[in-house]
Formats: sequence, C-alpha cells, structure tokens
Amino acid sequence: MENDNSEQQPRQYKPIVFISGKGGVGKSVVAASLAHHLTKKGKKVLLVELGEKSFFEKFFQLDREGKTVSYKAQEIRPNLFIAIWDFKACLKEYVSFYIKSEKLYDLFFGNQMMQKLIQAAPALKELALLGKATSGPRHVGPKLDYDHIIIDSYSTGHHRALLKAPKGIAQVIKKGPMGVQSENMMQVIQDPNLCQQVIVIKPEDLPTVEGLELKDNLKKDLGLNSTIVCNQILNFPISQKEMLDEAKNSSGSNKELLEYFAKILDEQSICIKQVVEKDPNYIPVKFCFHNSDKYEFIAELGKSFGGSSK
Amino acid sequence: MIESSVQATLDQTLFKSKILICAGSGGVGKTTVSSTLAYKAAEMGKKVLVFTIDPSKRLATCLGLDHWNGNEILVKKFDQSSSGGGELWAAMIEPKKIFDEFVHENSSTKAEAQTMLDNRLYQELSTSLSGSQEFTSLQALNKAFKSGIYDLIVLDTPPAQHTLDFIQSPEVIFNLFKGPIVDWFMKIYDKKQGGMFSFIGKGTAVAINVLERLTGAEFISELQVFFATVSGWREAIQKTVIDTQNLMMGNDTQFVIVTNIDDSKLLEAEEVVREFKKRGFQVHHIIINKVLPEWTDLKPATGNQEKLISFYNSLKEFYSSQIQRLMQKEVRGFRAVEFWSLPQITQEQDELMSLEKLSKLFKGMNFMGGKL
Repeated sequence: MENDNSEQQPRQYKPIVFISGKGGVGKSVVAASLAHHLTKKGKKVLLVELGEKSFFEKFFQLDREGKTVSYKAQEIRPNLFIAIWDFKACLKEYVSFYIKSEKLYDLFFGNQMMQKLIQAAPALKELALLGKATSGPRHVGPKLDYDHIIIDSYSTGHHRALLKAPKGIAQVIKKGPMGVQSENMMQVIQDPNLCQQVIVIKPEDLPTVEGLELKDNLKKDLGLNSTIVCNQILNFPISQKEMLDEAKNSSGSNKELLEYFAKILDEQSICIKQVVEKDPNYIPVKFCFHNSDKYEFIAELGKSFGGSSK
Repeated sequence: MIESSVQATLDQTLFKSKILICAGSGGVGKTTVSSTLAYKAAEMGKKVLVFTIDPSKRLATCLGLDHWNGNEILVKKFDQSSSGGGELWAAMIEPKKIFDEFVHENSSTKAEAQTMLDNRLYQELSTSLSGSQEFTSLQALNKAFKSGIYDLIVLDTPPAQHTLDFIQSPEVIFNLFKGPIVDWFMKIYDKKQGGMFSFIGKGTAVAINVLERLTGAEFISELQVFFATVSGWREAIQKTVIDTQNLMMGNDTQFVIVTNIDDSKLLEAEEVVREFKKRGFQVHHIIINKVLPEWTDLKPATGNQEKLISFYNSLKEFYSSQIQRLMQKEVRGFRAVEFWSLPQITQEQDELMSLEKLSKLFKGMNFMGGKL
C-alpha cells in the first residue's frame, strides 16, 4: 500500500460519476465501493443501477430485509442511497414535469399504441436515462439532493452508445424540445466539473485492452477524459523472478504451479504498465478475499479510492 | 468421481446437435468457449462453423478474422485418418452490414433503400438499439443453417445487459416493426396532413399532440420516414422473426450457458437456466469457465515456494467458499443440467494451440452433490 502521506493528495470526485468497463471486471462492486467511500467522507451519495433488474438487491441481501431496489431512492446505510432507473420511469417523470396536467399525462401513457411507440423509438431510452442523470444541473424534474450520483452504467460498447445518443440526436434534430434537451445533456456530460467517467478494468489482457479502448473512444467521440480503476490486482507473496527461480529447481505439479503463477503475474504486470501509460493517476484496487458481509467488503475496497500517489 | 456416461454427454451434444448457442453474461469468456467447443467438434470429424461477435485481437488473428472479407474462413482442416477429416470454419457477425443488406433486399428501388440508409433513426437502430446485435446474429445463423453446408454451427452471443435479452430479441424487433403500430402511426399522419383529424379518437389525438410537444416536429418527421419505409417490409420481417424463433426452439438446437465461478454470475446462470427451460429452450450444459487450475499432488515446500503454495490454497479456499454459500441458496434451476469446468490457462504462443489445449480440459463437475 502506498501510505506515504507527504505524497498523498485526496482524490476529487465529481457530482455525477459514470462507471463502465468490460463485463465481469466488477463494475458494480467498484461503484458501490466508491459510493461507500464518499459517504465516509461525509457526503450524501446516490448509487444508481440502470435497467429493470437490480444487482444490488441480491448483493446486499436487501430482499431478506423485505426491501426492494426501486426508482425511488432508499437509504441502505447512513448517507448511502440506492435506486434503479429504468427508462420508462425516467420518461414518465420527464413527461409529468413538462405536462402539468395529470389528465393529459394519463391520456399519453394510457394510450396503448403510444406505449409501443415509446418502446420502439430509437434513442429514446438513452435520452430518458441521460436526461434523468443530468437533470440536476439542467434544473429539469424533481430535485436530486445528493453530493454525488454514482451510476453503475453499461459495459463498454453499450456505455459508449448511451453517451453518444444525445450528440446524435442533437445533430439531426436541432429544433424542438428534444433537440434542445439533447444539447443540454451533452453540455452537462462534457462539463469536467459536473461529470466524470470511470472505467474499470482487471489486469488481464482482454479487459485491459477493451477498457483502454473505451477511454480512447470517449475522448474521440465526446472529448471526455476518464479515470481508470484497476480492480482485482493479485498481491503475490513473491516476485516473478522468484517464481521462475523456484520453478527451475522443481518438478511435476509444483513446477506447473510456479510457472502458471509466473505467467499470470507477467500478464498482470504488462496490463498495469499499459494502464500507467494511459493514466498515470489510475486507481489500483487489490483483490480482496472477502467474507460474506458485503458492507465490510465494499468498505475495505472503498479505502482504495481515497488518495492518489503522485 | 464422475461416471463416464456423464462425461460423454458433452461429446454427444457436440455430435448430435446442429446448432449450439453459447449464452452467458459479459466477461465470462463466451467467445473462447464457443471457439473451443467448435474446435472439439471439428476434432471429432464434424464440419463446424463458429460465428463470433467482437473476438479479441489474438483470437481474431488465429481465426483469420482480423482482416475479414465477409466470407467464411477455413481455420483448420483435421487429418482424415486420425480425426475423421473435420473442418473448423469461422465467421464474424457484423450487425450493421446485415441490417443494410436487409434494407437492400427488401427495398423495391435503390432510391428507397438509400432513403432508409440515410434516415438517422435507422442509423441509430442498426447500430445501437438493444436487440439489433442479437437479432442480426440469429439472422446470420439462420442463413448459414439453411445453406446446409455445415454439420454444426456454434454461435457466440453478443455482450448483453442480461442473458435473457438474447432470446427476447426477435420479439423486441418484431414489436418494433409489427403491423399495427406502423399502420397506426402512418394513418394518423396521413390523415393529419389531409386535415382529417376528426377520424382519430380524441385520446389518440391528445397523445400525439403530447408526443409532438415533447419531441418536436423534426423528430416526428424522421419517425414518419422510418415507419413509412418499414411498413413495406412487414412480411419479410415477420418471416425472419418466425424463422429465428423456430431455429432457437428446434430439436437440433441446444443452448450452452457459459459462466464463471463468481457467485453473482453463478446465480445469474441459475436464473437463466430456469427461464430458458420455462420457455422451452433446450439447455443441458453449463460451463464454468476460467476456474483456478487444480493441482492435487503438490509436494510440501519451503521458503518462497511455500509462500506461493499457501497463496494458491487461499485462492482455492476463497472460491470454494463462494460455491458453498451458493449451495445454501435455492438452486433448482441447476437440476437436470450438467456442469463442466474449464480452467484458466495461460496464453500459448498461438491461440489455436490454446483452443486445442482447452478442448481437452472440459471436466465434468458434480455440482448438486455438493462437490465442486
């Protein structure tokens, strides 16, 4: 652990943080750990899932307490709120904000064909979700009274498509509320004081390559900078050289094991090197042999998000 | 130990099936497992095609897909005498290209096709709409299946939010193009332009007004072009959807669920098996990928070697405790499926060597018995 205090400076997180990365790298756990870390700093945090099915409900075993994760935020730990945003709920909220008449609202959503059209119309899903995520700074919709909103977003390809949607729409539809809203969403997403992109990788070839590619693509598409979190770094007790030295004098399974871990460690080192090149200020998170209490687990991982060594 | 009759079932599946669809959540290694299963079947003497989506650079290079020209590629021909002359072929799925082809095939004029290809909503749809990758994979699969060239086709499914998205994709696309909604939309707008608004119900008129207020006239007009074009494709789309549904439900089609040892991924796999079975899809195998290799005969050591062995043991302990915890939960979806593990292997010089190595490492696991 880098504990040299003179070199440490606290990391700053923006009001809206998107977490992405290749599938299986631990995006959700990283999102929860970062959220937990920020509550420890005295911040009020909303941890958001996207979609219709909650991961955290099972993860935190909220179902055992008879709780469900829903659109309406719930406090699961002091200052740690959780919600799931599905696009229909976001859209409904948006519409009710614009159409003050409850009767009109009911007619709109009550219309069966309209419901199907909403399902089918391309880009509407993305806009509804991003509209909600950026609603605070845009002063649209109900107030989101949090210091930070941590969004456990989609994996690489889908996340890129999500962020690109308002730009695409704003380019074609310049007039009308949809064009204007899209333009505003883009401005919020591109404002480095409001929004932050975090890309999670784990130190294996594919997740690293894909994560770093996403970093390049977000820069290219929208001029966004992203912070890399390197998750699940294995803390080997001996060096690669020591493994290989031992392997020379061993045979059978022992030799295989030594050589196996030497290769794994090699891959890990190469990946971390690639990460450092792209983001010298990346956040390393060690692999954690956690017990069954998930709050202890995210509290432990959350410690990684505090300071950065210069 | 596992009985040999159980061990043989994966081989039987590879031998008997005509289509294998590898499904599972992101990052579990579906592409590698699909390619390994295809390799294994080719080694058994079959002519096999593996369809991949977004393979890694190494795998793409090994499968000859790095500079792909759109034709299926022969990756390896097995020896006639020792392996029965099987062949491993590979192809990639390019959703945008498949969609564009569909537009060309179903448009009566070039100009009509171009209008659609230029439509922004179409462009959004063909690249980013959820379901479009899944749907185009199934279309590509259907085409290859109908060609009758291959004994077995292995499909690697695209990364999805949830594994269930895959089987729902034809339905999603179908709903988008289905007659009534297209008709409805077209009718309203035709009439509106002709000033015959009174023919639509009051509720609908209000809903449309609200939609216009929310989105703007420009969006509506893009939407109109879009629906005007697709209204002519109804039959073609309906046929494709029915074909792909039949393909997934077919007797010779099996789903293989790919997962890893992570407890949340295993739980998802369990749910997926239950859902797939409920919908009448055939699922007999779950492959737990990237498990820690097992060395049971390690000799006691000292110094650095001892440190590494105890590190290995703690990793092993950690993973088995994950499984133990899972066992205490409700896992009825896991009944009547067979479990296979594939170990995490380190990279070989050549990815084809990795596939060959992996193809020999499928190991049956007695999951429900509590041992893993």
